[in-house]
Order: sequence, then structure tokens, then C-alpha cells
Amino acid sequence: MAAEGVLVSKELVTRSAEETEALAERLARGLFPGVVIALDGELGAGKTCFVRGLARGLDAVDPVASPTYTLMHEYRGRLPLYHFDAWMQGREEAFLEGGGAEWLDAGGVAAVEWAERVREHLPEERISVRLAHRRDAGRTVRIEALGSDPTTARAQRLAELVRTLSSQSASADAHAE
Amino acid sequence: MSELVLGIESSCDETAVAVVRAGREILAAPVESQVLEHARYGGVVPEIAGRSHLRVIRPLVDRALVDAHVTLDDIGCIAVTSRPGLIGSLLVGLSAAKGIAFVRGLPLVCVNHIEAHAYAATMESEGEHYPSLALVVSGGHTALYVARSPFELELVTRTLDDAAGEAFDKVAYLLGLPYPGGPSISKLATTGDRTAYDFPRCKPKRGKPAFSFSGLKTAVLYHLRGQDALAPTPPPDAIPDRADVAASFEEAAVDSLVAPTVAAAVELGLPRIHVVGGVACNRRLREKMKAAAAEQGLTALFPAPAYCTDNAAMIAGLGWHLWKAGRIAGLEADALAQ
Repeated sequence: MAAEGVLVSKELVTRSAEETEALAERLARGLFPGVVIALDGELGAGKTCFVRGLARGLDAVDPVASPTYTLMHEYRGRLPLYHFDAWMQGREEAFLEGGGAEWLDAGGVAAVEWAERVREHLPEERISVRLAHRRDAGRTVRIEALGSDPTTARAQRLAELVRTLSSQSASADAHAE
Repeated sequence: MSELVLGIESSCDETAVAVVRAGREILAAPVESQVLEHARYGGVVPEIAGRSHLRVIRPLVDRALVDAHVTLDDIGCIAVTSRPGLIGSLLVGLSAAKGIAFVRGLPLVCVNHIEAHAYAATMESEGEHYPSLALVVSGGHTALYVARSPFELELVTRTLDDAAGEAFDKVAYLLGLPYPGGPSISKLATTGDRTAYDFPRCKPKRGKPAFSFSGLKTAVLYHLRGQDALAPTPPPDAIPDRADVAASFEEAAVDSLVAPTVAAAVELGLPRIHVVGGVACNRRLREKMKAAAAEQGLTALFPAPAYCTDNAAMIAGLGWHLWKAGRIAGLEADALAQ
């Protein structure tokens, strides 16, 4: 990821799976059609958990589960959410090349787990979410709005989304709940 | 009238054809696996799967008929998997089935792959099988259904995160064991101590049955890092207690399947449990499920390992019941991904 492509970057800390999910839910409230969310982080970092929060924020009724073996899951909500998983890199690449990439821009929101493995298939304008383990069992969540041209309306909208998200901390939110 | 059903299955990466009499007597059930073709990609590639099905389906139909010592003249009905699965793969089997049905003037029935898995548990034993609680557990599925008849399934719950088979594969990856992870872990587990580590079990919340394997996967990761989340994951050959980890993980994964399933059967007043799908091959799961069910006065039934994984005997078997119930499909029948 080229540093110059980063429009806005924020680092937040969540203290539990519930907080990670709540953070994703807040992000999802502002999502608009065509947004791709690239999720990275090692096994157990909370990628599927984050997608569950996105689904809740999009008012999706279908249960979220890992799509590692099923290529893609679709959840119906305010916007359709397309859930990809590139754990099996070669297979997901072949899927994306074979027409699966159409879902990235099908008027819904696409969430891609293990996104780094299929980065060349993702649009430059996207939201990157990197989840990392912390010693205290919490997670560090780095959220970035990415795009090569910061002047497009779309890039500005993505940047605004990430900027406003960072204005309230995950822990303050958890307290409010 | 012939009671023979020709079954065709092509929903994922196995092409399978079977000849089954009256829903249970399996005359032939050859399976052509594509595992080697997909191995270099680390999983099933839909395009490759579709083309591979196309290549083997015709010869496999011939082989099933020859193995069963019958010809198409002896067949009374064609049964085929129409959902769920990879569309490109399903269409190969569905088109082949439609072709045979049309040319031979035979009735066609469309079978739900999940329902057929659940039915597989009943094929090798006589007696009452319904109502039952079906646990469908594989790489892509972990779900409970109430089965009131061979083709009346109602979803009770499914996994909140990962499927059980996926957890086996991911832990196998951490331990440097080959794919698929289930058999690899089970083999190593036989040399380890199942009580070495107390990994977390998924517990039902508020009386509602639920499965979850994500926390277990993370617990194994943290264990390998010496409970320091930020430490690097050690390379597999630097893990001194691999067998104990495999054994303790398998025990926790099995308990996470057994406890919610038996609790749900008791709660729903169902006298029998059918455990099906690839993970139903797991010997420890078979032992513990049978024991836990017996403690509650319930019975637990498993298909033979060959009929736990994808096969066409279950398609022809369930197809016979659908045929007899008059659930004939038209030639316009569609394949559905879900």
C-alpha cells in the first residue's frame, strides 16, 4: 500500500469482540453503495467479527459466518453486503478473475477478509481495516480511507467517513451503551 | 415397476453417481474426487470444478450402471442435486440428469444436498428414524435441523462464526499439518494428551443452542505464543507439544459440537440424533456423541464414513422418497447456489 494513497488514517483500540463489532456497526451506518472494505489481520484477530458488525450496521438480517469454504456470502440489508475471504488465496483469485469481482461494484458493500492476498483485484478507493492482537486481549484497529485522487467526491466521502468515525472512541461508546 | 434410482451429485468438488434400490440398497456408488486438481490452489476453484465434472460425468454414469449390473432400461427415476453448491458445478449434474430423463422418458427429482446428507444417516439401518435432530457438520457447514421426514428439515441454529471443519483446517495450518485438517489432527491427537490443555468450549447462551469455533481457534493461537498475543507464532517444528495441542483442541472442538446438540435434542424432545457431513467421520466425535446421547436416553446415528462426505448414494436414496411422494421436477428446474 503506497503511503501517498492514504487519505485519512486512524488507530483505535477495542477491548472486546463486542467493542470491535460496535465499531464496525458505527462505520457501516455511514456506508454507501460500492464501498469496498479490505480487512487484514492474522487468525483470530477479529475480521469475521468486524464483518458481523458491518452487517448489523447495514440492518442485515442474515447471520454472518466465515465464507472461507463458500467463496462469498451475501447478506440482505439496507445495502447488500458481499462477504469475501481470500484465506485460500489461489482459489479466491480465480473466483475474482472468473467474474466474482463483479460483486465488488454491484451496488452494495463488499468486505474482503485476507484482503492483502488479493490486493490487485481491489479498487484503489477503498477502506482498509487492519486488526491486530494486543497483550490485554483487546485489538488495535487501524482504519484508513485509501484513494489515489483525493479530489474526487467519492474519495472525499470515504475520507469523511473515517474521519468522523474516529471522533468518538470505541471505549467512550462502550461506556455510553 | 422398477424401484431403482440413478443419483447424480456434482455440487462441489466430487463427481458422484449411484444406483440405489428403494431408497436404501446401494448397488453402486462411484465417486470421482478432484482433490488433486485443486490442491495447488489450496481449495476448490469453481471454474476448474465445473470443467472437471463435465469431463467425468458421462463415464461415471456408465461405470455406476456397470458396477450395479444394470442398464438404463432398469432405472425408474433420475435424482440429482440441484442446491446448494457452486452453480457451475451443479449445472453439469443437473444438465446430465435432465438429458437422461428426457431421452429415456423417466421422472426427474431435484434433491437438496443438505437434506440428502441428513438422510444418509438413515440408509444403513432399519427402524424408526423420525423425528430426529440432524447435525450437519463439514468444512462449510455446522448447523442443526429438526427432521420430521426425509425431506422436511427445519433449521434450528447454525454456527455463529466458523464451521467446525474450518476450525480443524486452520488449527492444522498453525500446527503445520496437511490439508484437510480433520484427519491430520485426529491422527496426531491419538499420540497426545486430551486433557493437557483446557481450551474453551462453546456454551449455549440463554438456553438457545449455538455453535462457535472462532474463540477456540484464537485460544490455540495464544497458547502457541505462550499466552503472549504479540509474540510471533512459532514454526510448527518448534512446537514441542504439538500432539497435546492437537488432542486438546480436538477434545474441545468435539465437546463444542456434542454439548449444544444433545442439549437441543433434549430441549426439543427429539429421541434421536443424526450426525452427518465430512466431520461426522471424526472418531472422537462419534464416541462422545454416542455416549452423551445414551446418557440422556437418546440414540445417535452416523453414516458409514464413505457416506459422510459427498456421495450420490444419499441423492438416489432421498430421491426415491421424493419420487414416491410425487415430487417430480420439470425440465425447467434450476440450480440454486443457496
